[in-house]
Amino acid sequence: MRKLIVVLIFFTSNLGISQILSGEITYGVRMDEVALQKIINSVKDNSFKKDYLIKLHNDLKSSIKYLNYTLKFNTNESNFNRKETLANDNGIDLNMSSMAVSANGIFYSNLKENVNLHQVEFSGESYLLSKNIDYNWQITTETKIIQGYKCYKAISKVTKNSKNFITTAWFCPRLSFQHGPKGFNDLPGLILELKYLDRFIFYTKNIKLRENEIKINRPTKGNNMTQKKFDKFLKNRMNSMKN
Amino acid sequence: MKKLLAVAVLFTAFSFTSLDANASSKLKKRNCSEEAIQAYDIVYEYTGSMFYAGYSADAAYNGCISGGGSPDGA
Repeated sequence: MRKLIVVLIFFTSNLGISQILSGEITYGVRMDEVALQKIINSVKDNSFKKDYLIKLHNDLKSSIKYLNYTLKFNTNESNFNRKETLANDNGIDLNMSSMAVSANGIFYSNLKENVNLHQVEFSGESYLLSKNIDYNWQITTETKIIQGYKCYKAISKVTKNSKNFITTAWFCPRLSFQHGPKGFNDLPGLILELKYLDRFIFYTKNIKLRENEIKINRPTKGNNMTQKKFDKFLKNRMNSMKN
Repeated sequence: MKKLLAVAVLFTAFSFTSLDANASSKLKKRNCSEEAIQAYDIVYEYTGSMFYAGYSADAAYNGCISGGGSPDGA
């Protein structure tokens, strides 16, 4: 069924942009207020947890509007990272906010080599994390127009730490590049909007398309580790505190 | 004899007071591991990010230690 939908999407799309070889997309981020408020409301009133959550929520709410990301891509590679901006006047650390929306560091994808990297800093160390991608996208026929392009909805369900999360991507077959924000890819079109874990929405602010192929930088700094191993390392650190 | 008894009562009372003060200061000491675990759980629930949860746990733990807490609250 998925294959049939993909074939149909390709046939019904306008393929007139074939001369485009690379590009750059600027994404902003916003919160799904309803979903996050629901999480806050599920915690008991007058507790340490509730106070902590409300502070986290309010801090993020006032800083998220300053977060901007760039996705640079060509046919084979992409690089996604935060745009450096001047510190905002309320003194909020944008690195922290970027971490809260799980978009800190540099995300790199190379489709031909099947390489997906995430370069991050943690506890004063640099890590170069590699990830095997298996989003298991479910492509739907639901559409919406983003920046003048018709986009299709695709859903990926993941289980992390025995919790189920949903990520929704809106991809555009007319822009036939298999890239997207935060290393999300493997769809027959560029992802112009991504609702990550049903919480944070990366939306397109600006699209620049080029007829020449731009060079994409591949991050090299940091200790090589698989994402799985790094998650285990974080988990073990917490377990050692519990014992 | 009366004076000796008075001194003994005062001494005992003082000992009880200081013991009580020690006990309450021990009870009030912050458990930094516990605070770190709570921070981790809350942040993970809210963001879904193990990375940010781990970072927040570190920050909570270090902040608690600098604030006079101890690793196990003892």
